[in-house]
Amino acid sequence: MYRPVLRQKWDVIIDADRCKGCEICVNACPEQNLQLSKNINGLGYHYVEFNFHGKRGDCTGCNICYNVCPDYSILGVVSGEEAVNGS
Amino acid sequence: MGAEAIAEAAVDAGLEAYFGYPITPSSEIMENLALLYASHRNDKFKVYFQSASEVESINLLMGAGAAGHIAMTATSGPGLSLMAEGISYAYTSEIPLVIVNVNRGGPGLGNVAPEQSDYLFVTKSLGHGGSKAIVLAPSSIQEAMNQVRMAFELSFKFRIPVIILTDAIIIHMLESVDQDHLLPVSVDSGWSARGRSGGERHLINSIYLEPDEFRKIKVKLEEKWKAIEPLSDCFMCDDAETLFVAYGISARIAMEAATELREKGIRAGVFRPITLNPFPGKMLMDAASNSSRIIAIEMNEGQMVHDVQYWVRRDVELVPFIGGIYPDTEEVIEKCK
Amino acid sequence: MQVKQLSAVIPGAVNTYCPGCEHGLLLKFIAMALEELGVTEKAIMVGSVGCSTLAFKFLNVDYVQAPHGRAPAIMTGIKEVEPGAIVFAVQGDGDALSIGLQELIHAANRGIPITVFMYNNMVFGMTGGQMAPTTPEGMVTTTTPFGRNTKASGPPINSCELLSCLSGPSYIRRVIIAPKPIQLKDRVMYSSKEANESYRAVVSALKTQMMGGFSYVEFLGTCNVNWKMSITDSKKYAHEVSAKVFPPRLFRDRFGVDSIES
Repeated sequence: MYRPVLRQKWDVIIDADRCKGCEICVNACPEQNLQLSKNINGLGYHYVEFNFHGKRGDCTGCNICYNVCPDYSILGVVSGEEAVNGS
Repeated sequence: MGAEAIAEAAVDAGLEAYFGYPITPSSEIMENLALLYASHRNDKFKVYFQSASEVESINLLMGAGAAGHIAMTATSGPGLSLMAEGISYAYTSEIPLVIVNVNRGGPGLGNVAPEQSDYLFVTKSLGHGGSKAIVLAPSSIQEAMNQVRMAFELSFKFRIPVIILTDAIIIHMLESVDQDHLLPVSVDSGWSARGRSGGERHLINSIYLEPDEFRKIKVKLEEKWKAIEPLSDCFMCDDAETLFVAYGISARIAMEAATELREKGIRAGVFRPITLNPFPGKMLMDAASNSSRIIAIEMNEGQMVHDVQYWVRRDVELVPFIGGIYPDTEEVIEKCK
Repeated sequence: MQVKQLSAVIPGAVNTYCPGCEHGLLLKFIAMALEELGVTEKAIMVGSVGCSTLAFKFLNVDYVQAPHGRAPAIMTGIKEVEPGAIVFAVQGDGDALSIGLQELIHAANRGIPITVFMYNNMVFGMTGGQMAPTTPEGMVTTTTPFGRNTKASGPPINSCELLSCLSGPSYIRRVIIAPKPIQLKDRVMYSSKEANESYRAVVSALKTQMMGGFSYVEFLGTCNVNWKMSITDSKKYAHEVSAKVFPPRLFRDRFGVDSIES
């Protein structure tokens, strides 16, 4: 019988309208989960986007991005769950 | 003594904070307040200390006023020059504060003798940008006491700085008063910055970078200013042929001269502005309408005379007393011959 | 998904700072600290002149604007008549140490329980990058196009050391708020240690005020626009130059509230 396994998943909540594309969070993230978007926001900056599966690894919910953002465009890091195929 | 009286009037009327810097001839006001503070004459008088400069004094007043409390200082010309920056900020930020200016000889270090040479400074532009304050000028000790109380009321009613323009004579002279225990004022501080306390935040500010925004503020401030009513006093001026115009201590001399001239058959009178800003121009026009001679008497080289000339639209004569010399009734009477 | 936003920040407000400037970070830390200590409703911010003037467009606390350099005097006036309020100011290095040095020293000397957060980026930022009292020798600014000449202008002023001569202040600390770029094998990574330490310094400073003491924190930040550098280069400059001229450390902690290990 198929029983889904739940594992912890993190989500970084971003207010893209405040981001100024300074890339401090991009550089500070240990797992490289943040990148600047190709699109620009109302201020004219390429805003940051989050991907749970980062270049180096999955987001660990370390909160560094929230701590270092100078514009309060990263509003918080919240935890959730995702189902993973399992046996 | 004038300084004692002003200090007692302030404390009885509900002064809450006093910050000052010593400067002759105003230091006695602060020294008297030190004693009144130590003797707990009024529980409301909770804060007193000497500041490090007049620059600090005016900013301490702005802090106390922005938090909605009654605060006052006393200074003289060189100190008032340093306060001009703060008064300009307080005008646009709409912060109430009261300054007693004891006019001494100037410009520069001058001397510590009395003059009325700060008139232009306090009435025409007390700080950059067209900043202004309500200016009250007492000519007796009782009036000085009443004006301290009035200053507290006006500063909060209109949320504007108020200057009481005295001079070294009034501060040091001895005179008896009728009413020496003034009643406390009650003021509204709902607008002040004391913390959000569960509501909207309060903004006490004078920077408005958008020209439209700033225009609205300046129009509002001008409208508020126009609502302030000027005050004046008329001494035998209804039927005066020769009208003296003088304020403060010069007005006392003018009244003495007018009385003596009446005995000699000359119909003299005195128009005394009580608020120098806003200047009681219309009242002066009325008082001067039947006079053939208008003579301004002031302890300076000629400052108020320009305002008088503007309102009566005629040539105005001047009896100046420059350099700190005491005004002389004889000299005034000589002018009338 | 929604997340609870800081009460001391105006919803949706964008701060007015250049991209990469840590000034916004300092304001955010103040908002976080006020919430952590539960004093947002009692907070009164005094604004100064410079990049910090427009803080009221971002922070949602009571705000009284001060003339250039006079914030410590206005804070003193407010705290004397409203002793229950938490009164703080963010001043630049020009505001605090040039025109405002007298007000700062006398307020510090009195030891009145207020808090000064000094953002030191070694230039006058808002006005276009002129020399400041903290500009190091030889640094090029718009008013020292050939580098600061200490013969004419004297050396830079170390404010924490200066205030340490007075017995009034209860908490004096200098921290670097600019993240340190670390060279990894394949990329440059920014450290988050500076952000954490700066946040703890903000909390310690406000705690000191709540316990009745005067607190002063100097933050070594960057101004990549006026330093004419890229954002990453400005972070390097802050760690290589600022930190040498202004060594970050704890100077005084009368109530033992400092919680930074280094």
